[in-house]
Amino acid sequence: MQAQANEFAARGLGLAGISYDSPAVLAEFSRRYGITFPLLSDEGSATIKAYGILNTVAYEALGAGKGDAALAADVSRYVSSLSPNAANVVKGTPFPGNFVIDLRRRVTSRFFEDYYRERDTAAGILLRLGGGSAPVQATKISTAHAAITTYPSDLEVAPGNRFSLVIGITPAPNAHVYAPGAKGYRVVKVDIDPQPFVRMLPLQYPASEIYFFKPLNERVPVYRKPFTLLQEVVAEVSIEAEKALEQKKSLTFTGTLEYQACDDRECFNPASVPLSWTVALRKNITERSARPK
Amino acid sequence: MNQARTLITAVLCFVAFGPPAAAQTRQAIDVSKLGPQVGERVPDLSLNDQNGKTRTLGSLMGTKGVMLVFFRSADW
Repeated sequence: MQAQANEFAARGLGLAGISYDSPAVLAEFSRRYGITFPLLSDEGSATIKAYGILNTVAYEALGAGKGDAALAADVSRYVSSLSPNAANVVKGTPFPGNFVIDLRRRVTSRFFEDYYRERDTAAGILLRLGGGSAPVQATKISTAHAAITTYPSDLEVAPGNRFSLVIGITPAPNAHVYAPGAKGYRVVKVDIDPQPFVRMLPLQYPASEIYFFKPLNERVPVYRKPFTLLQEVVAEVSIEAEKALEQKKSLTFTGTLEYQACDDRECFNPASVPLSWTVALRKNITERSARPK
Repeated sequence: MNQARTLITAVLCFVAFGPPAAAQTRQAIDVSKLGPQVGERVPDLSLNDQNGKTRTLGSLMGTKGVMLVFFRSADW
């Protein structure tokens, strides 16, 4: 988050963390990790409650319903998948997540995960908010009908990170490629080869435009301007996943982009373009903050 | 007749003891439904930051807004 603080600022967005820790713990944490944006101390969790995101599962885990199977599933998802005794420390924490708020205090985006150990990377969020920073490590591919740029949202990820593989496509002048909903044409899509301990989320498409093809009196959803597809990926964080990912220094993703391009006169054969991304893997930070004296 | 009696018994039991166990089944948590949704306003806040300074949403905002990152803890 700290690494992208300036990019949030460049978009006019302030950045603040909120937890139930004391100001002293937050001060120590900020010193240790060089955090310059505000970390707010919500001791007693009043703000967390006012926002309606208090982690109630921790209380349930300590309550009468302990043996309940449905509860057990939520406990491993939102309290701890590692330690059965974690509920006491999790009491008072929020369900982790981010709200983007405008000047009138209205929510414009929210990012919450179904598993407490998974979290969007800041760079991934910036991309989903639109735009994002200039890619650091882009691969460029030119075909007869499009210029393709691919890059990962993050050069380095840890187990539990949700990040994006980005595919930027600029159709050739006068050409268009087919968007979801186009019937009778090959809709642009990306298939990533599966690999263990990595989960693929559905491909994110931007809004398309309707193209009117007079000779056939046909209206079809297409992309004519440069557009970006986001393939969101989660590096999983179960005990087995962490063990397996620990052995690796990086993750390489391979896949295929398929599309069909046409211009005002003719359609070209469907194209299939091999893609690849590599991100470095790092371990999660697990050490505790030093206890303030 | 028997059927009618069973039905009456069931209705009486329901009245006496409340809905059967099925209605008590716990709803799984859906975090996407919790807290202010897109378009809704969030409550203001007043909290101390790591430097002991009191902050409100107004003091956290950039020119367009702010991203609030709720996290579990910096302590474990």
